[in-house]
Amino acid sequence: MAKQNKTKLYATVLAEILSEKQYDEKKIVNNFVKLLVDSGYENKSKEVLDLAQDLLLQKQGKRKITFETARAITTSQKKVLDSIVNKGDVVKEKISPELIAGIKIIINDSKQFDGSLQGKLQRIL
Amino acid sequence: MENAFISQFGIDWKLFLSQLVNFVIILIVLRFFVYNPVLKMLKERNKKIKEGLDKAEEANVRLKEVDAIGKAKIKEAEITSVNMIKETENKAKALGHELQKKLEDSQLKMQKELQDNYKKQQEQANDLVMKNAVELVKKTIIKTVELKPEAIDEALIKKAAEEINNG
Repeated sequence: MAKQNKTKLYATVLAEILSEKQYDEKKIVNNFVKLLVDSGYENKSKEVLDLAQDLLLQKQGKRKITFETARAITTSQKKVLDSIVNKGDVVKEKISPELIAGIKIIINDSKQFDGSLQGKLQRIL
Repeated sequence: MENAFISQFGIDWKLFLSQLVNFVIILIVLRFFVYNPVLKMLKERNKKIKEGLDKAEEANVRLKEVDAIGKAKIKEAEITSVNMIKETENKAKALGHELQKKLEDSQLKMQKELQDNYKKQQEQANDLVMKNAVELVKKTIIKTVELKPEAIDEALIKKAAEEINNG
């Protein structure tokens, strides 16, 4: 629990700094990772960075959208998906062959739309 | 005249007197040394005989009492044994009933278990059939998807985008 609070604290600080846009983002992130390593917190650095990104996006009113598909998304499919992506949204793609076909869309790691064939089969059968 | 008459019978007074004295003496001696001891002995013997008869009578009475007690005991033993037999019979009957009930319960339980097992097996078989059917359907769908995966992906993605855009 204390470690989780610490992760959130680091992430919040990083998100605050990055949101000010006065400094070079890359440099800030690098220095922050170094700080985490010096603090003996390097094994949680990915978690901190992911959380910081989420907080930053939330602060900027932007979303993190993950498209999970069975195969790599084609250009024509990307065009269709662009209709749900707003400017500034961070888009991630993930390939999960167990979905069989279709897509699973996860927004901000919380809202989830399951349009995969696997999901449809699970609901029907 | 009188003396003459006595003398006619040949009685000598002097001899008669001496013999009388002798007789009395002998009578006294015999009475003291023979009659009394014999009488005493007879009395004692009579007493002993009476005692023996009394004891025999008492023994007879006792024997009758013992006989009566024995008869009573035999009767009591008979009653007790009859009661014991009756009790044993009742217990045997009760045990029989209990065993019968247990047997019936056991049979019912076994029947229920068999029915449950049959039902369970039927359910398992149904589940297996359903699972196999589902797997078959899944495999068929997967095979169908594998024929034109991009087209199906595109259709599903389009539908997903529409649903998200429509709220």
